[in-house]
Amino acid sequence: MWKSVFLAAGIFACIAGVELLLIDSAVVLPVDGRGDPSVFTAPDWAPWGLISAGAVTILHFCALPTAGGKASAGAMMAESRFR
Amino acid sequence: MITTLHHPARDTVLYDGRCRFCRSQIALLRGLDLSGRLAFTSLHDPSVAREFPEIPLAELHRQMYVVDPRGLARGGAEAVRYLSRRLVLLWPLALLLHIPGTLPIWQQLYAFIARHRLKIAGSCEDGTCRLP
Repeated sequence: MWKSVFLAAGIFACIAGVELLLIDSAVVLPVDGRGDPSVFTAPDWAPWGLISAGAVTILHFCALPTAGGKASAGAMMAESRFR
Repeated sequence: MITTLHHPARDTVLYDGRCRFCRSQIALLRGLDLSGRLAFTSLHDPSVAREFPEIPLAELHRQMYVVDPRGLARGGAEAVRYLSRRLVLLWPLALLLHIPGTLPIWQQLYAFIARHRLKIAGSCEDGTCRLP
């Protein structure tokens, strides 16, 4: 189950990063419809930070063993290289 | 990060024009800058002291600076990270440089290379460098 969580978190971070890369700012409306909307502007480095963190998380997913206890394809490849 | 009063029209890279290694890296950057987003100025150019007096000369000798059109000056590894975001051909490098928590590593690496830059390829004090 944890393996899937890492994959989902990695993909989510990558998608959020690409979205931030495409927009300049986002207007956040209040949930109840009252009050002023707030403008969210992400720092320059945020999209790249998210994409990088997502990529690292996906790589970690590849290295995790499968549910049956067997090493994943990525981990086996790495192991065979170091032999 | 230093804020300057002068806002350049383009991202301005301030580098050591008397260092061969720096000049070769600037030549590489010129090649990667396909859309002409960057301007390059040697720190020995008199216009640097006039336009960016907020950046101390000792700092300019210590590391490269990039001043963006908002007047924000980034130095060293942060400048390299900024350039990797600005130049499309450097986007693969941007992914590596932006891994959360790795900035101190890049800063140490940059500082090491910057300290030894004159040993890597020498300086232009003898007047043998090509004109830009």
